[in-house]
Amino acid sequence: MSGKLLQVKDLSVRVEEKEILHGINLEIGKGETHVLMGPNGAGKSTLGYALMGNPGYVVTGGQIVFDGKALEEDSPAERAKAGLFLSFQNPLEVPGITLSNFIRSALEQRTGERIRLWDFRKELEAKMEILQMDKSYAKRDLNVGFSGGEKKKAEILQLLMMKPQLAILDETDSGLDVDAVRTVSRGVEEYQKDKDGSLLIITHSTRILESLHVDVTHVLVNGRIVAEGDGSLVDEINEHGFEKYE
Amino acid sequence: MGLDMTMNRLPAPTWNWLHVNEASLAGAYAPDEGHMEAETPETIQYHVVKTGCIALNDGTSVNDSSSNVDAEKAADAAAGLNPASMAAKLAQIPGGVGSDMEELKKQGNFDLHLWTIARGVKESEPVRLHFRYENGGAAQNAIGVYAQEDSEITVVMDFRGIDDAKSVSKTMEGGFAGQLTENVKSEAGAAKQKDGCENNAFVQTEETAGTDEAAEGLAAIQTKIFAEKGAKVTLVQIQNLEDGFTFINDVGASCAEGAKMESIQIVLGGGDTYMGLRTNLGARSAALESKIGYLLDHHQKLDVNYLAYQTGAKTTSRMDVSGVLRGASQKLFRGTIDFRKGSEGAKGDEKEDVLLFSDDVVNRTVPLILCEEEDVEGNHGATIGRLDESLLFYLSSRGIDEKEIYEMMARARIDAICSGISDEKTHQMVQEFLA
Repeated sequence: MSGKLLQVKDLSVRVEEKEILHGINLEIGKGETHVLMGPNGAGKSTLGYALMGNPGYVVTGGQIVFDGKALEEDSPAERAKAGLFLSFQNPLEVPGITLSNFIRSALEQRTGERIRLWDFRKELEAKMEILQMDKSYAKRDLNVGFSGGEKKKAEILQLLMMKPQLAILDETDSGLDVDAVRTVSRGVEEYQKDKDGSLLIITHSTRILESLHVDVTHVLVNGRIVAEGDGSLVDEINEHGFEKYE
Repeated sequence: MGLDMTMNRLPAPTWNWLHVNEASLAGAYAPDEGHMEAETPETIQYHVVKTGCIALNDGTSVNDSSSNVDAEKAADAAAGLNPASMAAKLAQIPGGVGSDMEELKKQGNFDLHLWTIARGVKESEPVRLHFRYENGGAAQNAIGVYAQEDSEITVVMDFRGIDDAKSVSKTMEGGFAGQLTENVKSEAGAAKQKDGCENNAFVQTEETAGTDEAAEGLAAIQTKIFAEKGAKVTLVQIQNLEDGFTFINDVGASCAEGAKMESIQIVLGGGDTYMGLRTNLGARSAALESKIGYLLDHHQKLDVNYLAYQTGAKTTSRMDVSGVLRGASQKLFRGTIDFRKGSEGAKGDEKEDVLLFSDDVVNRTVPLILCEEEDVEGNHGATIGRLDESLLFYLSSRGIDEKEIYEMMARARIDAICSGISDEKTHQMVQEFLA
């Protein structure tokens, strides 16, 4: 067994009739921070959805191995229980289920054990404070009427509470103002510090990366990883764009 | 002797072969008065008006044998607002189930239990009415609510079997509406419903009384409501009977100028449930806001007839129906908004949200908007089907299994309906039923 937490081998993915990803190879170790960059339509979100097991994204070839176990046959819920987490670019609104109840239910489902309400509330409030979220959001229906920034914070709050082994952040910084990005970054830092968690950050910009140490940068163009490097590749792309890879 | 009832008639019938024009119940027999416990806040008056006195309105025949009306309220009585006159006024209000409900009431001498609130009094604490039905029982009740000018009153009713422990164990089994025992009578009724919208009412009680089978019986209730000018009446009804029960729930309301009727009806139990709510919005700016939430499973059946008669200018009505169908359950919702002459500037909305958990469920909806005025606005919208794939993925990506997601979404629908209830105790009661 490899020491790597996630191994993606020659992964090809189809959405409806069109193949979007063509033979992706990727390895992420425990506690590492990886960045996935690429122009619009390159297939970045597709990779995130495929890793998380969205049934609309069909794996046509290759393998996803997480913590030594092949995941292709697992449902999204089973992948989540195994320690994967996807922060959505556009989190969905769920009327009738409060943010607090949703997180508690998810935690109980993952662990199979009842969680003491007092302990849960205490931890939830502490995490909300880190994210500068008003406590009233805990009692509001999940994402219903939340601003774009609050929705992203709610995603990071779930990340902090669920403590997965690997978090995929799909453009978590998009549409956020400078202050909100800083707050979200603080949450991501907290996640790594707390759990020694691994990160795959899908992003267009570098703002969310400012306070993080990037181990590996991957450049995805037209469904293929065309370049890899350390954190300095982020700066290079930021300066020159993706033109030379297209 | 049993009554063959025709209930919940559509005001404008459609093709008979659709089997939605009305509901039928054969051999209905409910000679006893249902067991009721009441909690009444001090600001609200309670009267029992004997059956024979309801038609009188001169005050001379008042027979409110159990009244807490005090001397200070005597002025109202002198002005003709005595319990008998109020009861007479309420008797004129038709209910949504229809005229056969009046026939059913003739099977016994049922007193009208009347709650009244004085002019200008706004009571936030609800009147709580707990109805308990024995296994094998066949009972009914008549309730009246009279809200005087600019007053506010809330009435919360819950309907359960008398053996509370059995009810709780029933809801604990297999999620929100699991049953310990399938009820043969319900299955037979469901089969007949498909065939011709007909069902057998509770007739025999001896066969199952005293056994471990799920309780059964017939429970009926009629509630009449009058809201004077500027008054607001909120009616909350929560039904969690065992699935051997046939339940008939008839509500009739009338709102004066600027008055508002709010109703929240939650159906979690019962075998066959017939509900009718008819509201007359006969004066300017009168309003109806009604919500139904239901969770049906196995062969449970819900048949609903909502009618909003809008004759007053700028009246408004809203009907929100939200629920979940599982197993081989059936639901028929008739929602009629009738804009009559004089209702200029009136608005009416019907909205329905049905989540289907099984291929064997039967879901029928008859939205009806009738119009005699030009300057009115009527809307109907419906969302019917399974959970959206993207929502399912989002929730499952947090580690929640598909089965649990459906349970969560089912409970969420009831929670959303309950969000309109301001009373914490009522919230808790619903949560206990759902636990």
